[in-house]
Amino acid sequence: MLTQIYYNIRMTLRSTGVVIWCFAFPLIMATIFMTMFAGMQSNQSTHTIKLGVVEDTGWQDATGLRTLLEELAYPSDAEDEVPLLALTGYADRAAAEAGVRAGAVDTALVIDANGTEHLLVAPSDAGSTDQAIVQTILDRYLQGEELAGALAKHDPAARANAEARAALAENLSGEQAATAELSVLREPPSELSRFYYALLGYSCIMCSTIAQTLIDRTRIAATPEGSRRQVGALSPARQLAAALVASWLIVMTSMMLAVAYFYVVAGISFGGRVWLTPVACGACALVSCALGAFVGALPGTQAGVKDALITIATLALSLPAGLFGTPALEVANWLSQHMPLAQLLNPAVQATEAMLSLTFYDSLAPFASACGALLAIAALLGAGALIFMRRQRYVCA
Amino acid sequence: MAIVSVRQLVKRYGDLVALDHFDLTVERGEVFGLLGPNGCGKTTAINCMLSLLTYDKGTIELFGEPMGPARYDLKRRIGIVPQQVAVFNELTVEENIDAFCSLYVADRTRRRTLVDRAIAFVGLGDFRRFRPQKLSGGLLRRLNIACGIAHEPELIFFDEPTVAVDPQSRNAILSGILALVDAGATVVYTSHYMEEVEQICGRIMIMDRGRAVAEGTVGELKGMIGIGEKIVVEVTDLPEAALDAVRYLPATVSASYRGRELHVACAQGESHLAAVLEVLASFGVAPVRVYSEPPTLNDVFLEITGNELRDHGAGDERPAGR
Repeated sequence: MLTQIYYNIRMTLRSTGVVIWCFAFPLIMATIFMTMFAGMQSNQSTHTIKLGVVEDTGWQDATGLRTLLEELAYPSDAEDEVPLLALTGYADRAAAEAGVRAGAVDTALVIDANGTEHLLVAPSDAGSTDQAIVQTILDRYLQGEELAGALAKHDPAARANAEARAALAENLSGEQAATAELSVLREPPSELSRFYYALLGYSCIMCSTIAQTLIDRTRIAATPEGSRRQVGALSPARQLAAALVASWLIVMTSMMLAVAYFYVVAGISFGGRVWLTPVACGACALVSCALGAFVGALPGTQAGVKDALITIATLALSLPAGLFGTPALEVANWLSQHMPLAQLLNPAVQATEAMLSLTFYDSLAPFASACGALLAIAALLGAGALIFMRRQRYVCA
Repeated sequence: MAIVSVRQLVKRYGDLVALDHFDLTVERGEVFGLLGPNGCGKTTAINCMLSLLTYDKGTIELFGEPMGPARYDLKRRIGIVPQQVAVFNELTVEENIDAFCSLYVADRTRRRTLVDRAIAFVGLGDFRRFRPQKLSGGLLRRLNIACGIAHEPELIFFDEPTVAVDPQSRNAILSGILALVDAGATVVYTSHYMEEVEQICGRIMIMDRGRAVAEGTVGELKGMIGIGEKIVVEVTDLPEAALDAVRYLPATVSASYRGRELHVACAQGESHLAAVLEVLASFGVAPVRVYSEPPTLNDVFLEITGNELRDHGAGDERPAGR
């Protein structure tokens, strides 16, 4: 039986189709994802906003605002941090306006004689994100000032001296005044990693063609080689086992290669539990073998039809796993809400869920549940395959 | 001792009786030819003998013991060379032979020796590392044979092993089969090529409609039919009266004149060539060329099984419920 397993593996790995679809394809897709997502991430990166300031008496008098902007332009607590602002000083409003029009700065701040702040923007560049950010900083500052003023009205002692003013400023801007972010997930949620996990599900279904082919090659009249094998002195059960073990090993290897590529090259962390991924891959590989056996055992079906069935199953089952972008994710969410059983019985969804729960949940229960669902699907398909196999026997008369 | 003993075998596909109380005995060391038109039940009989197919009635014994699907001890002693080349395209010649041999022989060291012997036997030594796609039709057939005989079986079924091969390869295959028999194997051979069956088979059975309709040596089979020698006389012209006179000879079974050749089929018995020539001389017909030949196995086959076409519609492949 070991020799049969060995030759099953050998002949499968020499099949160009298997190498391309089951080994190269997930890696190629992951590389494409990396390229696409790298573009999206670079769009989200921060950069320094060029802010012009008119350094007149208004600027000199606005101590609080000046301190805030200088702190944002020259951060003292993080040397390698990219500063949010780059300040450029102008002697008067006209020079600042010229600078804005020339594009030397994104926007410029003028504080008039009444202490009112004004932002200068070029007509051609009005409403940019950078201007909105500066606007938000100013708004936040002014709200703080207003709040401090209101407090002082009620409690004049709050701004009575420098010490009291410092304490008030500390209370208004300190950490206790901010909203703290707490996460119930092990890792910050990332929509991008979902695509990689869905790709694993897709790959698992696609690989079922391996089991289907190997099983066809052990069955009477499915292929000439199958008929010849059945004349041999090795029992059909052992030949079937050899085909399933070989296909499980190949699918497992293919999935682990993909996981390794995602982990090492694409930087997918698997929640620091990459050591548990073989469990999920093993369960996925079982489903793959069982599905291949089921399709391979379908009565009265030509090999070409079986190939087509697996391709259709791969695409149809991967859709609700969210592999094909936002519309697919919406379909997946709708199905999860309205047809949870369909999602539970979908191996591509369960493969994705297993990886997602491994990554994001503290508890391993959801992961175990997804793996359990995969094993149950494998058992169902395997039982179906056995029933079909026992009922058929084809020979030439 | 009979290596194969089939008694009163009945196999039905619904209303169709594929094997109708079929009997077969093959003795050790013989090459037994199984002939019959398409759909006559040859392959069904072989599949039943190999336990690839269940049957409705009868008994099958191989090597003196009842054959069954789980008789792996008996299967280990059997080899099959199917009509269709059944090898793995992804494996080399050597790997293919080893893969099939491993179904019978677990010991790797012994298998290596057997594979080497099989490769040498079929003359594929120069192609050990070739994959089947790189082999010609004749070499493929030889690989097909090597995969069936590598485990050195005592009983080998050859199912039309020479289909679509050139005369040189065919001769090599037939010589190989005889060499296997010399080495102690028993062979059951099916083919539609009568001349090669005549060449290698000691005994022959002709099947038709699931039954054995004739069995014996080549000579015995030829003796069973009404036709004896066939006389061909090449003449420049043949008067109708001369043709009629030949037809009226007592030993004439049939006579026809086509393409300047007079064909006379005679009844079994002595040569009737002199009588035919005498009739022609009486009509002043001078033969240009004359020859006479004994009946062939093909004549026997056609006389026994008839001339009508046997392939119906989609052919003879059909599924069978176990």
